[in-house]
Amino acid sequence: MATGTGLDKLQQKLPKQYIDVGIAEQHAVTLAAGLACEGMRPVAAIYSTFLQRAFDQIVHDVCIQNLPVFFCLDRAGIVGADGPTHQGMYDIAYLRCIPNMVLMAPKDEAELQQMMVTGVEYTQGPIAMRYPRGNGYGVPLMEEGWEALPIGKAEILRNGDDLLLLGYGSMVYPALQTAEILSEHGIEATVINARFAKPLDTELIVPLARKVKRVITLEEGCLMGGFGSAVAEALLDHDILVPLTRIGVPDQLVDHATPEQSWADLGLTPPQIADRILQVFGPQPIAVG
Amino acid sequence: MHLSELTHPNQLHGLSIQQLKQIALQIREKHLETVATYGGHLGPGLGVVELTLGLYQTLDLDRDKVIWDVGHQAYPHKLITGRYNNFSTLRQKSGVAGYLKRCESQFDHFGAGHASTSISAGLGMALARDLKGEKFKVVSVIGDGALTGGMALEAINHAGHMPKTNLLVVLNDNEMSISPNVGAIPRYLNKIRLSPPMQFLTDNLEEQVKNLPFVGGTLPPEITRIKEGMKRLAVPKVGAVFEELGFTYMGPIDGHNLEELIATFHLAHQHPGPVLVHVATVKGKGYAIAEQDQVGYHAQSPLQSGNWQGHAL
Repeated sequence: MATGTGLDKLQQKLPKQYIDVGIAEQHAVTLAAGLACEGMRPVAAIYSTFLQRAFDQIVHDVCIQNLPVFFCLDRAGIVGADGPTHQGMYDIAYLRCIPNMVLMAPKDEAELQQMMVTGVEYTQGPIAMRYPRGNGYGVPLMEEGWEALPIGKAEILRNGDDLLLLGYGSMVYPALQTAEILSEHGIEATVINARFAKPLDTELIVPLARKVKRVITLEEGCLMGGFGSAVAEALLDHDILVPLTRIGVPDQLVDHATPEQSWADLGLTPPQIADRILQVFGPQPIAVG
Repeated sequence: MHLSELTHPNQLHGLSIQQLKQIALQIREKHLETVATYGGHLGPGLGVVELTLGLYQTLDLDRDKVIWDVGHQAYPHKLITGRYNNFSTLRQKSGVAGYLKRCESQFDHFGAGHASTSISAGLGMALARDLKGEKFKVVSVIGDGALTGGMALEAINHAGHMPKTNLLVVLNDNEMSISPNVGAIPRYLNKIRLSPPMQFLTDNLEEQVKNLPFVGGTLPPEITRIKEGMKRLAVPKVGAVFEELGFTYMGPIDGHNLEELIATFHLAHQHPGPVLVHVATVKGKGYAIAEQDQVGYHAQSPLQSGNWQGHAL
């Protein structure tokens, strides 16, 4: 199974550090737990859709024992032609509810490099990174600066007073593009790259939500229990009752299509997202100065 | 030595069979007394008293690691790893847990509660050991019920593919899960249990060879090699499926016979690669009512009288 996850390259360079278990997700996860017990730093590379098969092993063998296993979830989000059996829709929801688990998603390929370092260096417990099928958002890769990111810290990418746009993983750049479209309509958004769905950076998000008073979340995964749910829960827990719109995949199956077709069907392209936000705002509520 | 003086399992080293039997009796008494008063799992633990003692006598528990599947059969393990004195807190708030917990004892190497995880976890530890160049034994104990869970078969599939990775799997075969087992694998195990044990077969062959007039008392090297070959030929009769999957199969052995257990575990430790020792046990062993009603006495609520009088061991 080396080629599916792209691990064939690692296998060639570090053959002793590569363990192939065949099609056996449950065993792979508990094997990783056993390795972690002995002080190794296992990285379990499994598609989002296939990790579903090892849910109890994640709970029972990894999270209950708080073992440092690094899960790399390939093909998270819309997968395209493989259809509903292979969509990586549920990982945020099914991992977020388990104590001890840390969840992160990179906005682009350079941040994926940083998150690889973050995941490998994090030894306090389990941590998972999700990333999309095919390519991430292409940017020049890091030559240096391979430091771990601080756990649970988001970054502000753009400032604006009218709207708070919180993007997770593959939806961060679409959030920025959406903000540009909105700007043409006189709406200025603050855009945040959440980086972590758990722990959520409430220190950053809560005061901003209180100030800006309108929040939109963007994710490429199921809305129920997902990243937007995490933000909604955090705001409720802090007694912040502001309008919140969650954008992602509603409670429906996503059939096979090209990813572009699926995004369009689900209203996940920046022009569609901008349209939806403009409708929420009503006819031009903001005076352009 | 009394069970209460046993705070480290390595204290079992050097005890005679007779002394081990005494410890076994005391484990059963403590086990029954505790479960009668506080409730808990009964049959699973009673079935593995000798298995636990025999296995632990052949290991150095400061280095070697035993991974128990499920954990509800680990009360004997708990009683000889420093938890005798507070065993009356079993399954109560802040007390001794009913299953295994890494944070509870240095001898609980892998937490469990659900079935079928021990071979995967053990193999992970064995691979880590070899990567680090360390030397210790890893033993995964799994029940025949847990062996029907898919993950155990995934782990056997992987372990059987790693001929250089030393791993001992002890199959605790009591012919039961919580209820009677379902399926083709338990049926196969039953078939094995009814077969004549492999070891005795080869021992007889050795005796026969020794008695040949031109061989005499000691076996020449060629014959020793042939004997080894015969053993390999003889095995598939009983453990064919495990042998075909890459394991060295030993058994079936009587899980309540300490001599047989200890001798077989010593032999198993000398074998390279994955080894499976098939141990036939009786769930609820030593407590007649539990032996007869293995489903009803899998787990037990506290008895109203708080003791087992009239239910003699």
